[in-house]
Amino acid sequence: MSDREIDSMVASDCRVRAHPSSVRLVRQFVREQIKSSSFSDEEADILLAVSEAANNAVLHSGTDEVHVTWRLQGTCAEVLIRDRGVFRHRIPMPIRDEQGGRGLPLMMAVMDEVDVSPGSPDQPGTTIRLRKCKNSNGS
Amino acid sequence: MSVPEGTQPEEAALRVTTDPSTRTVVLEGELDLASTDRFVQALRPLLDHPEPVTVDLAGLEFMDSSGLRAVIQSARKAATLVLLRPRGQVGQLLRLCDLERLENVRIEGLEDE
Repeated sequence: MSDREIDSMVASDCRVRAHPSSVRLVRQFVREQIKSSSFSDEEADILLAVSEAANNAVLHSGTDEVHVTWRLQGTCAEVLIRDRGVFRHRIPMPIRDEQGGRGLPLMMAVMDEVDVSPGSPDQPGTTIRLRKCKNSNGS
Repeated sequence: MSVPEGTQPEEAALRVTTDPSTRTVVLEGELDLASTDRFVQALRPLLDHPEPVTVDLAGLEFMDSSGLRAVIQSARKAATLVLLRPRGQVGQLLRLCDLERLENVRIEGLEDE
């Protein structure tokens, strides 16, 4: 499932179809990367954030493929989750507490950096960048 | 935390076992977007009853916000929902989201941080 496009020492890629059953494959991919690096202490946080980002892509982007990239930068790991859709800004309000909107707050709670490059109707394609550094207090 | 080797993507990532005599649903594996429906369906017949319902989480390795949403929705219909023995990432998530703010949710056997 992982097609390594860039230098495999630097980054690894995985593409899955945008379907609920794929989020688990994304976690498997990221687990493999964590296993071959030294981010096991950060595994729980990274897996949660990656799942939330993949959930967003699967549920809201309206595209058929999600593209995940893992890369290491010094003592930090970055995961990019890309789709080809239009990003919907969602803010969790008490009145719609059951309807989600928890993804981004959760990502921000457990990662050191989260940013969203939102796809628009004119320029579809959303990228969520998740960054976690060793010995940080992100969670 | 690892997925057993040879596990096919099509295989269910979540195992749900119900014990009606103790009003307990046991979850093993991963509770995510693809598996919350089965959890909610297993829990539903136990909810309409004045006694507490227990969800045993000791064998659950992963939960995300879709699992959390399923828990919250179920809790609204339950008298009392007991979340038993959350471990690892699941415990961290429940702690992070402070689920006991819901009056009828109780977390038991949560590991120390």
